[in-house]
Amino acid sequence: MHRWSWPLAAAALILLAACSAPQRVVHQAASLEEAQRLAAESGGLVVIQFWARG
Amino acid sequence: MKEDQTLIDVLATHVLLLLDGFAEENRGLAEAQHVSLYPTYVLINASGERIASWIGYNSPESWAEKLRALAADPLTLPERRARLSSRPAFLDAFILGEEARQDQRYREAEVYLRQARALDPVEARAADVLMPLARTVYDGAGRGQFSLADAGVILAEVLQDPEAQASHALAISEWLFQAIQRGHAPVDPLAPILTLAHPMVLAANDASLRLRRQSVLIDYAYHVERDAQKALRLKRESMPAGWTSDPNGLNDFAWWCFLHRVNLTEAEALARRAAELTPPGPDLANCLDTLAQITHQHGDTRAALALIERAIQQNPGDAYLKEQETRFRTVLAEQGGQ
Repeated sequence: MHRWSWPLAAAALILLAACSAPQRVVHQAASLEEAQRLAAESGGLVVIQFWARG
Repeated sequence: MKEDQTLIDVLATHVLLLLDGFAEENRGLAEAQHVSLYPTYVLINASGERIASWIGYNSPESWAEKLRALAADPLTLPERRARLSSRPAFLDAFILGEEARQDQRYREAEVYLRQARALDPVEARAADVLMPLARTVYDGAGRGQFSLADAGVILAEVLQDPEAQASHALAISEWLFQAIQRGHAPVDPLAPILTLAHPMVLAANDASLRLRRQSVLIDYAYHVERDAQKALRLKRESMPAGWTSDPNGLNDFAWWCFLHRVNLTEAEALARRAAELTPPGPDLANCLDTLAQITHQHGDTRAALALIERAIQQNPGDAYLKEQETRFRTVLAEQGGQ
């Protein structure tokens, strides 16, 4: 058997590593409303990244 | 890193929601947003209205540029559709095409992406709209929204487009060979497209494309030219230096031989060597599985079963290995060997 890694997952982790403002990063869908509230405060948008673990 | 700074800068005023689409707590939102491939990006405003979505992450620069353009003009999707009707412009057509593609409305995506190309060929070339157009057709065929014949016509059109490059031919070839190898499509209807792509694949001399080119040429020899010996030769030539003493290289080559049912005598010896060189653990289980498969192929299912039992000891939680064990036991039982 030969197993392959998924390059897209690696690409997604680049973005994860790139973010230096942890208070503006939310990790659960239940926090979508919180994300919208933070976006309203900053006048920005909510960027949702759906990624696949592993 | 400079690349990281690009992302940090563009995200400064936005909120990033990082969701594992497979996690139970996120599955509802992933389904609501019609997420089927990863990574998928969805942009919403503070009121929860969707602005755009797209699949994939090419580079920090292109990702940042896309977010910057969307944030500078954050229309909701109905607003963007209305503007495209009244004042047709490249970016609106492109964004709506990418949105439709992410939402698996592939026929609609094709129309928008073609419109984007017609509205501003220069911008369309810069954004490489040809690639998502090709991918739309491929994915649409996979979902039954395009017939294989229709998809073939459009992919041929993409390959014959004056803007088509080696990267397009390589990507289309890779997708089609993947579909063939997974049994999702037969070779014959796809062969003309692969043949059309072949000269462009051969011309892909860029260092960043070379590995992919080699892999496509191997598949082309095996599936289209139906020349297993040529494919074997190309596979051997593609192996990295020192592979014959590297357990991963040995296992990779042996597994390829098994999958293509070629050169199995040498493959068995190489898989055995790989297993000898690999330390205990999941990697050893993989090598033992390769050896078991080839041994079974050679007709010695009892030895294959013993090998797969050793593999399970090395990686007890692996469901695939247990399926293999069941398969070999079933064969032996049917042969009256147990």
